[in-house]
Amino acid sequence: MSRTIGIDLGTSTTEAAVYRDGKKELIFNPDGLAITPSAVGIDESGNWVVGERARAQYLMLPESTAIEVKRKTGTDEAITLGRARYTPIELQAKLLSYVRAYASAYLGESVDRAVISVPAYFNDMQRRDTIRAGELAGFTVERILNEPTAAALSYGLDHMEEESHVLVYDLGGGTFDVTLLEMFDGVLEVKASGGDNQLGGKDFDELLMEHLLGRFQDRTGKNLRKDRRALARIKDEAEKCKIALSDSESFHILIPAICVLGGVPAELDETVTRAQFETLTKGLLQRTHEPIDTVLADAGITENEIDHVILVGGSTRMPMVARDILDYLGIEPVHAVHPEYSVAEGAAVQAGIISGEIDPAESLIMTDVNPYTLGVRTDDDGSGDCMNVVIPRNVTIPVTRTERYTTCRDYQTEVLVEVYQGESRIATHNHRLGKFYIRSIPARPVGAEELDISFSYDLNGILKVSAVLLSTGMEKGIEIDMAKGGEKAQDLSGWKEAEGAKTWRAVIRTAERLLSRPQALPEALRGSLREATDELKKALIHGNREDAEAEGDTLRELLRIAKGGGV
Amino acid sequence: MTEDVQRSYALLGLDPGAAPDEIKKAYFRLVRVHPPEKEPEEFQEIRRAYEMLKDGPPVVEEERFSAPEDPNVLCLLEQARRRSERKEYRAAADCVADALTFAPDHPFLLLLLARLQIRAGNPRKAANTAKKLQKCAPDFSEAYALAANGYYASGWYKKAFPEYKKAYELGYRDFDFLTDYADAADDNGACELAAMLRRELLKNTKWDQSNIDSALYLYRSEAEHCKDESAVLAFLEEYGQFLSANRRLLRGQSVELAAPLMFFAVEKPQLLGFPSVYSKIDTLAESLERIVRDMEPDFVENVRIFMLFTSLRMDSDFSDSDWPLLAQVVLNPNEDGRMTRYGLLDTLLCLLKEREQSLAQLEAIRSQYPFFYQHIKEYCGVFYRDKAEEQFEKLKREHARLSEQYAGGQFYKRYPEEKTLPRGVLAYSDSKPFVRETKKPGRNDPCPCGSGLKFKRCCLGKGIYD
Ligand SMILES: Nc1ncnc2c1ncn2[C@@H]1O[C@H](COP(=O)(O)OP(=O)(O)OP(=O)(O)O)[C@@H](O)[C@H]1O
Ligand SMILES: [Mg+2]
Repeated sequence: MSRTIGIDLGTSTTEAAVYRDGKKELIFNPDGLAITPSAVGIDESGNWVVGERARAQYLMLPESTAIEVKRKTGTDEAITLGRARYTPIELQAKLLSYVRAYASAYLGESVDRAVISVPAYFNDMQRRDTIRAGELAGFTVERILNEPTAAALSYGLDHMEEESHVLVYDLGGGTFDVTLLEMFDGVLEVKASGGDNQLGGKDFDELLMEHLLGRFQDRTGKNLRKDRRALARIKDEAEKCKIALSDSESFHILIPAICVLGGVPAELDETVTRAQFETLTKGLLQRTHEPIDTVLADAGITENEIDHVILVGGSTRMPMVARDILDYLGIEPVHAVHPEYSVAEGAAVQAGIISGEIDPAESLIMTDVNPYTLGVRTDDDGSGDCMNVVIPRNVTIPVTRTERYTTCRDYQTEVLVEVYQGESRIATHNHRLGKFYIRSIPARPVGAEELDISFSYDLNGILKVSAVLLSTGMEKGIEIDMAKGGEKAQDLSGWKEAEGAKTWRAVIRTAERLLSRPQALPEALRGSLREATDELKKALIHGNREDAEAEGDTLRELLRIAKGGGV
Repeated sequence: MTEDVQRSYALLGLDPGAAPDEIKKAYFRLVRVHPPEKEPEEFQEIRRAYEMLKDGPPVVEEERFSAPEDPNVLCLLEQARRRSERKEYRAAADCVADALTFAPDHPFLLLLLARLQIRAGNPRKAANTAKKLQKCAPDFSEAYALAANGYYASGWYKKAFPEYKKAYELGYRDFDFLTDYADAADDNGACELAAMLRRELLKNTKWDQSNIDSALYLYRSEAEHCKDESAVLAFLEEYGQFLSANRRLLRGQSVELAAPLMFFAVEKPQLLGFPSVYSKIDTLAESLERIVRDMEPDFVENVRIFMLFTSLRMDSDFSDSDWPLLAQVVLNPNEDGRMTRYGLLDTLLCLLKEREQSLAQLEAIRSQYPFFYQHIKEYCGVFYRDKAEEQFEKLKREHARLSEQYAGGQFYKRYPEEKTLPRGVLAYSDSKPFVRETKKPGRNDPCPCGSGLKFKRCCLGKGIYD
């Protein structure tokens, strides 16, 4: 088996590490550095550039360079480089290929397995896209690991004997994560994780940038907000200024020839004091409070019981961060040994545990939690849209939970089990992971039939849902691979050969023809129609006559509406 | 101790009743032996056991009575226990009732039966059983609490009340019991007592995940006892403190948090007609905001708006004015933007007609209802401007145009003379253009239609002024 490495695929910077010969070891890139800027671009001759070179190029060619792609992970937003458009997955994959190449060179052996860390608060889509990027880069992704858990692992390995509650506070380039863990007897138990996946150093840069742009406009009347190249340079300076202000009280920004005014080059010349910067960005730090509160509440721990607050991530170098934590929690935080590396090191530790490099009997053991609430949709309040929780968030995994439900109408003979992930009490505001029907329920008065629904959530993020009808013992279920993005996508092309396909061929054709014309349908109807069509095909492929019958009827009804039959 | 708990101790290799830190040690030691990575099944077993025991061993009720020795009874009790573990309380109660035939009026069985009957949703029977229990154990407080609970749940509030009293006197202090007792006191007109009980509960309880909902319920009930401005102020102050102290526990709630406020607004709006009360509510809304935040982003805003309407309508300084109406239009805009605009103009014009008075009121709003002021300040410049007259005319013209499309409005109703004034470009009342009375205008004269253009560029050639 080849070696497994740990990768911290950050918003601003990416690091890789490995566990070998009994210790954590950083992997250096061809520039001899352990930190690689998370930048990808295409140079003037059309070649890909990654890392430091891409970052340097960003100043000159911002339109063909991408930075902070991680912020867009999990969306379909296209990123334009030069003339071509790329998905976030493709660009993350470029970055990971680069890591894979330099790691192979550094370790002198081919590297094709990885543990990749993501913010704890990344949702299912964002995790899936990270895995896809890894696979595109040629990795087998052994595990998606939560960043603060990784940081804690790295910390824990050095403090095996400790008994304490530790709050890991990770403010990086693009995301904020907070995790509470308990160390006891060499076991590291994650008690709760939370965060804000849209808050990081980048936001501090942007506020400062906006301030500089405003000042420049006040002084010269020129608005630079549309000038990509000027923006790239100001952003770069803004970040430099921010970093400098972590050590000194004021910083002088001077960007010569930022634009041309009245035929002569104008410069941006501005001095920013730390006090100014802190006032400007105070609001951002306040946004960290809510996730902290949630995590403490979920862990059932009060401020007084926390022993250490560990700071991870480059942005925690801003002195205001430690001050804010002291204010808010009354605890003086300490920096991790290497705030920028500890996540990658932790991922390497996890890789070592998985590959067997680290002997579990002698080393650290870790238990993690599921970051999101999982449940089914029920009709508790008559709205038909309640999120009924089966596994609450921040429960130690692996975990199995069973809840009992009853029918909600007299003589009800079927139940639709819909599985949702998310924190809203309204089911459809959450993310639907999958659904299935229980049919042939004996027709009895409301509440007389009972159903046990079980959720099993394992370490790899795979959720198995099953339902048993108590009166007949009938059982049905699905497997949802959350790490791979909800319901397993199924190849539905075989439906034509299935038994009974003839009956439904015309209906399916009509539906597909309608679906192929983009303007033919309102969006809502479109979704339902596509879903019903897929469900019908699935039922046909599985040879389930009853399901096919029901789905076919639904589809017919939808078609009637679509053809203007009204609702 | 149930089998589950016993099994959990055994699984962790502990004797029943082991101390919390022993439980923790045992768990963490076993996690090493069965790490989740390698043995997920075993790990889950251990974890389940740990979660069952980690907050200290389950409280084993100190039982006052011991079970009869009769083997028939024991057999039936075993069945009852199994049934109730499966939550089949009715069947379990039947077993105990059977057991009573072997040991009539045995207090152990009566107590068990009454508890099961409550669980099974059979409160009347439970009350009867509890009454029997009182006969054989007259100083046993739970016997009265169960009777009270049974009567209350069957709707016999009068009968329940003395039972509650007696149980309380005998020292029964269960949390649910006390909340119910307070409700019962309310129902029986003993408001003072109810308030006292709730105070006691609110003061003495340590809130956690399991009882925080009741806290909200208690506050909601407290609100009903507020009779005047100072009582409301005191209530809001205390409620605000409760909200900020427990914001972590309260996260996830929304409607429930605003319930006391909504109660005031709907049931006792007259209590809100004081700027002092309103300003407290505004502060409270900020605490609410901290709890609810992005979960339901509009929720707090909507509550604030609703409270504002009520306060303005009830505040004697504003109740007769058009300001509440303006709030309605601005904060609750119609989907049709032009319609909203019309409403806005209509109200503004009415206010402008009484400019002196309105200006004074606007100043009061600025200091007492800052939230409202923030929303309307963009429209209120016209009250202050030196060129108010000119502005006024402009607004009137716009209003006149819109009034052709939208019915309703107070302005013309109150000031009918306004309706006949010419409005420039076109007379609003009929669409017939002006007829020339003077001499025909010259090509370069301003056009008589009032457009401001030269005649040759405007109406010349349309045959109007020939
Ligand atoms: N001395 C410093 N003072 C202030 N900010 C700093 C300092 N050093 C680095 N940063 C900021 O830290 C951020 C990068 O931190 P880090 O490398 O931990 O983030 P990341 O892992 O790339 O992002 P994420 O974890 O959010 O995906 C950048 O925004 C950078 O500007
Ligand atoms: Mg990071």
